[in-house]
Amino acid sequence: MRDDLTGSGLLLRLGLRRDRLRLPIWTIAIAAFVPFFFNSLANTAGEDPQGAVDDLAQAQTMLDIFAGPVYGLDSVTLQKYFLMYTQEFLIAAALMSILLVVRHTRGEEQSGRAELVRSAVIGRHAPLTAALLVGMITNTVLAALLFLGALGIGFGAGDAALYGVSIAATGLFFAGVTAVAVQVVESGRAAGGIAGIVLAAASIGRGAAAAQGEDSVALWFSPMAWANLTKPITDPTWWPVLLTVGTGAVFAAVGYALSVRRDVGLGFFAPRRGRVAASRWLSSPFALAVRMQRRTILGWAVAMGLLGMVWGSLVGTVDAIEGSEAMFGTELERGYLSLLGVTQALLVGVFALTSMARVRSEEVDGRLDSALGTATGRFAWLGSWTLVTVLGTGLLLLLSGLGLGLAAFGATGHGALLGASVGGVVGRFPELLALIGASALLYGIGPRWQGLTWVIYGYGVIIRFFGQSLPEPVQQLSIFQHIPRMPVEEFSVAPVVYLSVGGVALVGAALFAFRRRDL
Amino acid sequence: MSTAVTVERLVKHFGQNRALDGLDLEVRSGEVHGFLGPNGAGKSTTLRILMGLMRSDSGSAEVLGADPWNDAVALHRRLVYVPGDVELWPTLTGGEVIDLLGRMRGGLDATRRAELIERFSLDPGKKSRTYSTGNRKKVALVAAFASRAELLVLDEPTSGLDPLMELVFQEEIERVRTEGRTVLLSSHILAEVERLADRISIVRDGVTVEHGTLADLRHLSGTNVEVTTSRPVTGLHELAGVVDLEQQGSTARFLVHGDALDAALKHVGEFGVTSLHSAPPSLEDLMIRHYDVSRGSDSQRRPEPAPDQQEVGDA
Repeated sequence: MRDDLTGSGLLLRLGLRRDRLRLPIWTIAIAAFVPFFFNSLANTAGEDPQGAVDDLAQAQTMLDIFAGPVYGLDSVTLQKYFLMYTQEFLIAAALMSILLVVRHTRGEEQSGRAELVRSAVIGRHAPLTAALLVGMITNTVLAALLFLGALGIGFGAGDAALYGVSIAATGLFFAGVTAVAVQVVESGRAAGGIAGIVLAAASIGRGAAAAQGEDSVALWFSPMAWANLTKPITDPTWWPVLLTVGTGAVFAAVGYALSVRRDVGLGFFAPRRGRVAASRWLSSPFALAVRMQRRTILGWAVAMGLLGMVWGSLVGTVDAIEGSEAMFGTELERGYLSLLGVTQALLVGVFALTSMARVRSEEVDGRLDSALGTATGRFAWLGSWTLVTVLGTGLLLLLSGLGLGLAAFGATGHGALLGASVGGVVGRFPELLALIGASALLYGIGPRWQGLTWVIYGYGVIIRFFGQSLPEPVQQLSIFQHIPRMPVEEFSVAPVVYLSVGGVALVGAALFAFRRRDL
Repeated sequence: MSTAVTVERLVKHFGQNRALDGLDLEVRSGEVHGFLGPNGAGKSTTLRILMGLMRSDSGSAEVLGADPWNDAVALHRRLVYVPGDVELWPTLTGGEVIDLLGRMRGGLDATRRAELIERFSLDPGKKSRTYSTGNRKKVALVAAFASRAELLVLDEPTSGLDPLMELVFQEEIERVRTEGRTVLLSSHILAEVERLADRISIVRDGVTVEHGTLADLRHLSGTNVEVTTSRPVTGLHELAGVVDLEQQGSTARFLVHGDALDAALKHVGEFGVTSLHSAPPSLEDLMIRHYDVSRGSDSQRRPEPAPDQQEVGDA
């Protein structure tokens, strides 16, 4: 048994060496949002935080779904207001931990490097142990940076520590969940997907539970609520941190147990046999791109549809007052739907970017030579993958809007909300078209540049949700600020046209650039 | 005789690294042409330029009378390419990949497909993710041999194959040759090229250093002689055309260039020959000689051994 851990220290150092840039970038980038969010709050609500929160609380359900449970609203300070942004930090810490564990475990096995490592004097548990230790170190650094950030915006030392530690603990929880996911399936992408589904489910569960009330028992079943339950400043409570880390440790233990019951490089289920010949339709680069993406698109379609239905069904609790506009839904209901529509479109943007990243991995993983060695032209190749992304994006937007609208209709009986929801979500298609075009162009110029599209995307998200106090030109730089928030704001044709034309032009430029470069 | 591939003074840089330094190559229609060189000599880079995956910095390349960069798609209907590192779509089965590649090339011969899967003992129902390197190679080779292309461009096609499968591969190349099709085969396995190739080009550091038939190259190089005489031979080293002389008692080993063979044999004959072995140099001898001779100047010209970096560029 003792030998099982042999080499963990060596692998830990190797892991830290490989992550020497990622670790500081992730943790500093996350912690940098502490002063950023706080300053933007100070700008908008510095005069009267209580009044600002009271306004927000009029749409209590919306608040709960995005930020809940929230505590201490009777005597609001800017610091308490800032705690409403805890979920954003939790999601970031969770994603960081999921990607980290996948990269150091299943990612290594998939690349074949793990064979080399495991054939050396390395214990069977050493790789997972090293990965989890890298995760612990990274989350500890994150906790320390968040602590410093919270001190800097006026938290007391105890509250700042609780704040930082509770977020890092959630990161560790997801490291544990990922330790199980990577044992079950053979590909890192699928393992990350499983952990991502757990994250999404925990997040949706948290929102739904919080909407029942801040003391709802259901909150204790949604790990994404546990950091909120430590209630810094209002009623500092440390033991939910133990619950979070402890549950994460249980998952990690399950991961260890599963890992010795499978072979290196294989999953928990034996790979199924497939067809010995291709079906008739698998005969073009487009068919190949569809085949490579269809499961991903299906998974996203189910998730986005369900998410829409959960969010839409809560619209009835937004506002009980029946106003004169009730026939078309109240102002608050439509405000709520427009916010959800924007959020769903941004989520579909994640699909669009990960889908475009697939064409890059075709090249980086070495499959492109075989494909372009056939009579497949470069236009057809990049065009096919881009088209599949565009079609998938359109489908997901439609399903998101339908889920949202149908559930809202069901909850309120206002038929107009259905059309408004579908229109509000699908109307954002040109934004994503422009995003896809940017991704395609950066890839067309060179595979190493494609990741920069995430900067365009991240900038847009930050501006959309947190950048209202910034100067107009800074906001207009974001591609997500041009199409009106329907159904609250009036539809206007111009941004739809110029974003669509821009997106198509970017794809055209991408094809041209891809045609000209070495592979 | 027409040419299938003509490459003249091809140059390609990767940053500071000069991968191709004026490489020439001529492949005649209907021949099996061996493209030999160690790792990092520029073989894969040349083939990728011929496939229109890369553009050369200068020099010219013509494949089947067309420009490999501008006419890539039309050209690829007439040839097949097997890359050095075969990577497949992990969720597709081998059978699906064979069909997909075939269809994207414009069709494949179903009878040959079945026959080749049998001959290479490939299980076409397994997901590509589960294939070993050798099996992935087999998938690409089955797809290549099942095509009706007039030119086959194969980058180290037998790396990863076991000896039995290498034999099958050689038989398939023979078959392609008898059908009058052309093969350009890069390799660093000398025995394979010696056995299959009609003509050979040897590259080193991005330049073609030798080309011709194996017989031509051997003639240039000479004959290995091992002779045992009743009295020790003297004065051999004074003869023109005799090199690499080693003497051990009554046995002498040396290499003699083609036109000096007669004089050398007459000379040793005077010492009472008791046994005589002569053999044409193997391709391996040719290669080793070539690389040994040039290594001194080579290492001065390039203090950092570039081949490794170049492999990265190739991949």
